[in-house]
Amino acid sequence: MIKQKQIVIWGVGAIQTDIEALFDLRVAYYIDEALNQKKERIAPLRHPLKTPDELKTQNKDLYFFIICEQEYGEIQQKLNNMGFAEHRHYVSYERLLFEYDFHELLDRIENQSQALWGLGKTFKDYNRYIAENFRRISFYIDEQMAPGMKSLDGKDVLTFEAARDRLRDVFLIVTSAYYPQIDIKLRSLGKKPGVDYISFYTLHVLTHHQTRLSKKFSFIDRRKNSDHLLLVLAGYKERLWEDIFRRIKAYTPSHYDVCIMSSGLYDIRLSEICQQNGWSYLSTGSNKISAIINTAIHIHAAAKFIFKMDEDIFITRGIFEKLLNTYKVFEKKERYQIGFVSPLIPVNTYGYVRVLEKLHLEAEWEARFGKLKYTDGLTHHYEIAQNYHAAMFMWGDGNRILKDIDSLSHELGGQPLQYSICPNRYSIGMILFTRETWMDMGLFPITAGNNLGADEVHICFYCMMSGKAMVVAENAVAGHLGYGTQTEKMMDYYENNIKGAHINVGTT
Amino acid sequence: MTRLESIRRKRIHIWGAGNTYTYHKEDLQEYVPDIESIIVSNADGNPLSLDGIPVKQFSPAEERQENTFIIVCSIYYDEISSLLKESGYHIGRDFIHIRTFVTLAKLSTYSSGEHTFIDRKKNSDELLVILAGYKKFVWESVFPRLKRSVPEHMDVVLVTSGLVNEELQELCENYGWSYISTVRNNVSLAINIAITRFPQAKYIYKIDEDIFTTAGCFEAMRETYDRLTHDSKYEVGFVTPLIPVNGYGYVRLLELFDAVGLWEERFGELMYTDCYRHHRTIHDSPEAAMFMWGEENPQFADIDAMAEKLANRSFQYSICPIRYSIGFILFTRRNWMKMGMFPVKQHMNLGADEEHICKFCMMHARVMAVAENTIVGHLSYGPQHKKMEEYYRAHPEKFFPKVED
Repeated sequence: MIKQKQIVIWGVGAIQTDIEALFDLRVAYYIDEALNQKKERIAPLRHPLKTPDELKTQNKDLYFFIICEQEYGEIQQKLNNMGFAEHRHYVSYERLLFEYDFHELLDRIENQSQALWGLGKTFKDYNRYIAENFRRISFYIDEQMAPGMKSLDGKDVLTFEAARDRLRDVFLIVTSAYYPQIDIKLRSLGKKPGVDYISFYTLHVLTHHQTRLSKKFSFIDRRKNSDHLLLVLAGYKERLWEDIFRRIKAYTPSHYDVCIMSSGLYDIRLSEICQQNGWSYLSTGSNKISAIINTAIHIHAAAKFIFKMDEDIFITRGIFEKLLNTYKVFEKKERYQIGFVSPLIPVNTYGYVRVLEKLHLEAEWEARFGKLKYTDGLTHHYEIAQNYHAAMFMWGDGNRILKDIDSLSHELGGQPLQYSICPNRYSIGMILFTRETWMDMGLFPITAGNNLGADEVHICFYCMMSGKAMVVAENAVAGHLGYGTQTEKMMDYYENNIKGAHINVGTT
Repeated sequence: MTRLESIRRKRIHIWGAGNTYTYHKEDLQEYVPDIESIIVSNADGNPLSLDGIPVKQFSPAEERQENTFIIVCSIYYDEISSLLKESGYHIGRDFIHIRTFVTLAKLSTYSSGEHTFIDRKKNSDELLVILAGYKKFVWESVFPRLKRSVPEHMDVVLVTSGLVNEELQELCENYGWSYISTVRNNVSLAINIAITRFPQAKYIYKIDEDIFTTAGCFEAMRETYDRLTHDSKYEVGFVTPLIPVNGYGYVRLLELFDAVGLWEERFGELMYTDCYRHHRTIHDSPEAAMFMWGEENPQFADIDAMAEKLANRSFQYSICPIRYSIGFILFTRRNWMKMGMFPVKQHMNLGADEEHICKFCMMHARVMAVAENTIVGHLSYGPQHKKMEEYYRAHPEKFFPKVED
C-alpha cells in the first residue's frame, strides 16, 4: 500500500538509513527539524529536505510518512494537527519493522561471527545487552580508539582499513553514531545493509520482537486467515474441557480463526479436539505463557481483533458479538482510547462488584464475606480471589440467580448497551484487543519462570501509562471457575454443581 | 555510616543464579555496583559467567574470607543459611537475604539525605508539602493563595530540592511554615524526607509551585477522601482536585462547563490522555493552556468563580483510570508506606514519583479519585512554560488572589 505513495521519512540518521534499505523504499522527501545538530554524523541527503509546512496538502493520501525518530509522540501530534492519521498516513519505524522478515536476518546473524563498529557511548550504554545477545564477536572497529587500544576482552580493536579483509567473514553491527557515513564506506566495498551489516538500533528493535516469540513450537495449521482470532490458553485443567470447548464450539462465529495454545506441553486430546472442530493447535516445549500468546498472534498475521481466553472461562451465547459491539460503540462515543474490552465475569476482582450491584446482592455478599470493595485480590479485600466459598457464592451457592450464567447473560444481553471502565489491575481471563494494541505495547513480556501474571501486569500497566481504558462490556457475561487458591475446591464444586448444567439454555 | 554503606564497602557475592536473581537484577544493579562472583550450590550446568560476573561453586571447606558479604538470592534461604553458618558466617554481619537487603537499601536511600530543616511543626495530622524553588515568577501569586486556602490547623512545609533559597526561607518564617532544603536535587527524596520529618502526619497533601489553589480546595479533597473511604466500593490511592491544564481534568472540566465544542473547534478531538502517547495538545500546546485559562473560553476566565460554582454543586467525584499528573494530591502516610515511599534512583527521576504512585494505585486497586467540587489552576506543562510565563505576566488578574472585602 505504501509503495504507491510518496514516501516521506521524518528524521534522518541511522534508523532512516536502515529503513530505506530494508524495505527498498523510493523516498520522495525527508523532514528533519534537528538536522543542524546531526550534520557531522550524517551522509549527504539523497532526496530533498522539506519542512512540515511544505507538505501540508488537501490530498492527505498523497504521502506516507515514516517516523524514524525516537520522539514519536511529538511528531505524531504535529501530523495529527496537519490532518494526517496514524497507520493510514504515517507509521513509526518500530511498527514498520514488524513487517520485516526478522527471523531470517536474526538467524543469519546468530549463525555467523559478528564484528562491532563503535566503542563509544552506545556501546557503553548497551554493554550488558551486547554481551548477552551477541556471543560470537570476533573483533571491534573504532577509528579513534584503535591506535591506542589494541584489544578489548581479548579481541582485536581495528581501524576500518585494518579490518577490511576480515569483513567478509562477519556480520557487522554498527553501534557508532556515524552510521550513515559508515554505510557509504561499506557500500563502496559492495556490502549491503540488512545483508552484511545493520545499525545496532534497528537490530535492537528486531531482537526485541524475536525474543518475545517462542523459539521452538509445533503448529497444526487450520487457519482461515480471518481478521478475528480466538486464542484459548489450555493444557492444565482437563476436567473442564468438555464444557469449555463445547461452549466455544457453540458460540464462536464460524468465520473466526480459533487457535488452542498449550504452553510447555503437547496434549494429544487437545490436538484431537482441534482436529474435530477445525481449529489450529499451537504447543511449545518451554512454558512461557507470554511467548506462546505472542507466537500465536504473530502466526495469525491476518488477525486484527484478538480474543484471548483461559481454559477456565465459560463463555456464553453472543459474547463475541457483544464484546465487538462494545468496542466499536465505545471507540466512537467515549473520550478514551481503548486498551482492551472484557466481559462481566462474576469471579473477578472488578466484575464481582458490578455483578452484585446489578443483581442487588451486595447485602448478601457483605453478610457472608464482609465489605464489598473493588480489589486486586492480593493486597486488600481478598475474599473474591482467595476464599473458595466466595467463588461458590458467585456461582450461585446460596443464591439462585447466579447459578445460571446463561440466563444471566441472556438477561443482561437484553438490556441497553452498558459498559464501565476498570481503574484497577484487571484479571485478564478473557479480553479483546487489537493487533495494533499488541504491537504498540511491545507484545507481552517474557520474564523468568512461566510468566504467569506477567502478561496481565504488562497490559494493565501499558493501558494506564498510555492513557487507554480497560473497558468492561456489561451486556456480556463469562463464567470464571476460580482463582488459583480456589481451584482445587472449585473443581469439586464444578463436578457436582456446574458441569453440563447450562449449555442448553438459549442455544436452540 | 548507614548499614547499606557498610555492606557496600565489603566484597559482595551473590548466592543464586535462578529466578530470584533474575527478579532482583535491577535492584542489584541499583544498589550493588560491584559484585565479585555469583555462588551456586553446584556449578554443573551453570555458565562460567552470568551478566559478566564469574559463577563459582560454594566450597564449604574454604575458609571464610574477611570483609566478604553474601546476598542470598534463592528460595532455599534456610538451607543456604545453615550451610553458611556451618562455615562460620554470621547472619546480618556476613550474609543476608536479598529481600531484606533491598528493603534496607530502599529505607536508607529513599528517605535519608543531607538536608536542613527549619522546624515550625504544629503536630497536626494533616501536612502540606510544597515543592518549590524553580519558578520564582509565580511565587508572588501562588503563595498568598496558599496562605489563604490552607486550613489554619495544618502543618505546612516548603521543600526546595537541591538548593537553599533565602527568599523562601523568609516567606516560611512570615507564614509560620516549616522549611526543608535538600542537598541532592531529587524530587522523590525531597518528598520522602519531608514526610519523614512529620511523623504525626496521617494525611499528606503534596503540591507543586505552579498550582494555584482556591478557597475550600483542601477541605473538599479531604471530604472526598473520607466519603469514598466510608461510602464507596473503592479503596482510595489518592485524591486530587479538578485541574484544567491536566490530561484528565481538562476533559472533565470542559464537560462540566459545557465547553467541549469550543475545544474541538480549535484543537480537534477531545480525549483523556496520559499526555505523552496520544492527544498531546493539552500538554504540548501553549495555546491549549491559555484556552484552559480562559482565552477565548469565557467560562474558564476566572478560576475562583469556577471553584465557587463547583463547590455549590452536590457532592461529586470521578475516578481517573489512566496515568495522572500529580501536581496536587492528597494521600495517607499508610499508603506512602505501602507503596514503599517514592522511589529514589541513582539518576534523576523526574516523573518517577508520578509513575510510581500511579502504578501502585493500579496494581493495588486503590483509586485515583478526582474531587469534582473543587478546582485548582496549573500554570502549564513543560513545553508550554515559556509562552505561559509571558501569558502569566500579561494577565496578573487571573493568577493573583482577589482582594478580600
